[in-house]
Amino acid sequence: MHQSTYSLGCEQVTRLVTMLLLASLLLLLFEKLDVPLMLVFLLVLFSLLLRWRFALNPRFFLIDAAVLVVVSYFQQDAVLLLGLYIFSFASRMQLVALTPFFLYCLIKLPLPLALFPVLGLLLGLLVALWRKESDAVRREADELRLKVHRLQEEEQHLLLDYQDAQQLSRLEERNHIARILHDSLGHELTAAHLTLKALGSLLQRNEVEKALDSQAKALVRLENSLDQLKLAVRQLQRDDDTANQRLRQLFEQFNYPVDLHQSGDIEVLDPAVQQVLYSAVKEALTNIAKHAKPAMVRAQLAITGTTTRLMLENDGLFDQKNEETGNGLRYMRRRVEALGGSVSIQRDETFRLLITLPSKKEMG
Amino acid sequence: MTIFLFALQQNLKQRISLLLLLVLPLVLLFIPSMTGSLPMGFSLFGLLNLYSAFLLTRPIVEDRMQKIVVRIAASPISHAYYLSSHLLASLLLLAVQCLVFVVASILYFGPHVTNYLVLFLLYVSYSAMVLSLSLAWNSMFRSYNTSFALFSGIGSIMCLVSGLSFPLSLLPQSVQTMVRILPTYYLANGLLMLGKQSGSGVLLSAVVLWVFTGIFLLIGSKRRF
Repeated sequence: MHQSTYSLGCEQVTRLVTMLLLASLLLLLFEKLDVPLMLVFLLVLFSLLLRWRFALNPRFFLIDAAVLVVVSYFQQDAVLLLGLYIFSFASRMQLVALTPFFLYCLIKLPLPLALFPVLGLLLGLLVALWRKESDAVRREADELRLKVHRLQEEEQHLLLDYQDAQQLSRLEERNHIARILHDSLGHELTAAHLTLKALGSLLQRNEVEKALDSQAKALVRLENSLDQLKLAVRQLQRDDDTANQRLRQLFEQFNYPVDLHQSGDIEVLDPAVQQVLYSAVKEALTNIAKHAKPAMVRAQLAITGTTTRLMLENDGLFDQKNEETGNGLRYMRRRVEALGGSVSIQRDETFRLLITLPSKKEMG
Repeated sequence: MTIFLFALQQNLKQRISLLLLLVLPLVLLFIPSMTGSLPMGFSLFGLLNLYSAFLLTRPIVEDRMQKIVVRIAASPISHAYYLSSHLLASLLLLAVQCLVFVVASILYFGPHVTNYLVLFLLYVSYSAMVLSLSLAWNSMFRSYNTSFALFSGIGSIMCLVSGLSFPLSLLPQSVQTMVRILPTYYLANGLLMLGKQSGSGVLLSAVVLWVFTGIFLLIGSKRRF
């Protein structure tokens, strides 16, 4: 969960409150501050600083507080310093530990000064409640982050699976075409071939009527074969046409007119690269529609045997806050990088998005 | 060469070091004193010691400014070892300064003015405190020059009001109460107790000085890049 630069964490607030309590203690004790009391005050400060620098067991505070109780028999005013330890115990919800010290303070201190440990207790409990709340929020944020991370992993797996599925579907299609060629076209051509052979023999024997009948049959079979061939070729072409058309449709159906320059054929790209390119164009166009009001949108798609490069430029700049920080752009970058490509953004007078992808998938 | 020796060498390389450590303490002996109290030079030495300590922490700040601490962090040397070597080297030089001053005082004022061993131990405690104070002060700044510019003003005022460069008894009572929170006050207080031959008073001041040392060390020893 995003935290503002200026917001304070629980630990910082605890330290801040401790410092404020120390300062107020100094003011309360100021008139009585002789050298021995100053020494006790400094030792308490030292013990607090020691715990800020090093992760000591908070239970050691019990020893410090107990020593302070002993010292308070010789130095009456040192009782007030127990308020700091009461705050510390309360901020960790160690109510059993703080109770004897709190009661000792109430017994020993006269009424106006007795408010100091009460204040320490209340502030400590407030900090403890806040800490509990913020821990719960942090835990929730961590769980959400974990979920997002898992979703991203799933997405990558799906991308890989999609590529595998494409490959499988191609193999399946190839088998289907081979079956059509073998089962229908092959049979028809063989039959036509045999009929034509028979036609030759019939003509040699001057059986014209039978020859004409064979010719008609051969013609029917050849027409059937031609139909089967057309069907097979149509099935072969179907997917490639769709990839091209889908991409062009994106540009054609966009809210603003797009000046598209395309070189190279999308057919040469791996299905996974095609898919990522398609979703990247879709995301980029959505971003332009959402965040920019361009007078001109220009797209250049250059596909070679090794690299695919897409440049999308518009003159209605994106808002500063949406630059790169958006989830869409981040996911796009992740998908492109997963295939070994890169995404870069150039901002000068226009907003230019450059996507480079290898034409053949590099992902392991 | 160990870091300790290197730090000693670096400190002694500074031109003003020998002047501050060996010559200026002798000059303080000739400052006239008030009757019935310890010589004024004894408390003014606190001011000299404060600035000497500040100068001796310069190599630590420069290491941070020149990003040498980053390289040290990447090496097998721990920050505690690096810092303790530097601080011990500086403390040794400050102890030498105290010794020079005390020995010169014995020769100049005679051996019966005060208990010189206790005076020396009080000075060493004060040296440790001002050294850690300089470390903590410098840790708040990125540039030594800025740090020094501010410290020279605040240090002088601190020494003035806490009775090092001016007799504490001549200050108003309210100021005398307020300055008890200043660390430099405890040298003046220690010297006062030494003048009154109160052993417990001197011991208390020395302990307060060592607790201040601990506090400033905890603040200043945090690694900053």
